[in-house]
Amino acid sequence: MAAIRNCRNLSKILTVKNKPFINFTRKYEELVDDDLHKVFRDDFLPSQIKYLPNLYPKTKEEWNAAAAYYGLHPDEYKPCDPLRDYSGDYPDLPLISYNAKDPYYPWDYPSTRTNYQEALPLEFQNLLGDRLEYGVRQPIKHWKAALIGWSIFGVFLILFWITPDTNQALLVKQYPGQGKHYTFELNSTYIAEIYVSGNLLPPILAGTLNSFLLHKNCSDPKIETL
Amino acid sequence: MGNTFQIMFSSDPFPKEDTDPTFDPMFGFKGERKKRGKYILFEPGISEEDLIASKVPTNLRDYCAHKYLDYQRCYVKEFPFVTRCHHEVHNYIQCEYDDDVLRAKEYERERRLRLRELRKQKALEAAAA
Repeated sequence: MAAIRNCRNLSKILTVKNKPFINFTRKYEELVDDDLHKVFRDDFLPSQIKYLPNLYPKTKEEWNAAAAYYGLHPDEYKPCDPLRDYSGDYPDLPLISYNAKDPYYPWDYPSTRTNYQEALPLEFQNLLGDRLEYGVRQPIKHWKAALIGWSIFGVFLILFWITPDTNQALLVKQYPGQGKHYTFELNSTYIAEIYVSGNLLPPILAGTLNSFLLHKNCSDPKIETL
Repeated sequence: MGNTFQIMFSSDPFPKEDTDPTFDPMFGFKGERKKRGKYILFEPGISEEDLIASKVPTNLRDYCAHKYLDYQRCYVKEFPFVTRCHHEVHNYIQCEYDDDVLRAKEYERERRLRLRELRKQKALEAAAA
């Protein structure tokens, strides 16, 4: 019962008590999609709109007018896919790079191999002479070149995998409080160090004391040797 | 010492990396070996609580933790001109290096004692035969 009561309350909160929702539905009886292209296009100045693509053509007359504007035949003209890459009435032209075009044709602009008032594809800036040579047959296919590159990388990866660790071999790292740990010095020699570091003895005396203690501790004949 | 290919192809009983020493730590020493970290003279000793309070990662709570704290303290004090802490950082790195040297010495001691065990066994077998 509690769950049903809560559900009822939820519906009340979402519909009856939702004042913004009620006001919105009172004001707008049906939701109409704005043409965003038109909205944003109207923000520009008329001198700028002159250079922007028009809205997507809906009627046959608009279609033919757009084709004439871009200097194309109405059958040849096809605007960009409005769902994939919306660009108004701008035509979806084939990508032909500078290198794929005929160098002996009398182009109006030989540096870009284009003609006067020619409609250019959207990605034209990437198809210039010093950029992508799209449409040119390559000696090695792109997928093959990618495969070669990745296989070289893979060889190094395999080498990295199979080579042994050449670091200095060490025993376990020592942490305070986890077992008893010792240095390779003796307690008695450490006393001499205290004297030196505390300036309690002149260094010459401390050195002799140190060497004496070392000799005393380490030259024990009883240490068995093999 | 630490020769990778020697470890790979030799039949000697090399100890594995990052293992505990198996022999008596006092064996072969006349006097008592100095304990680590107990006789800090000029740096105040720090406790586990200090390390927890200053949020030192557990893998850094080793015998250089006080130097690590020094350099962290300096970083907080001098930020963003942290290059002024190069002495503290150097001290910490040197301490970690010395720690590694000590571990390498322990490894070599372990290796040599294993070889000695092997030699003693062979001598016994030769004597028995």
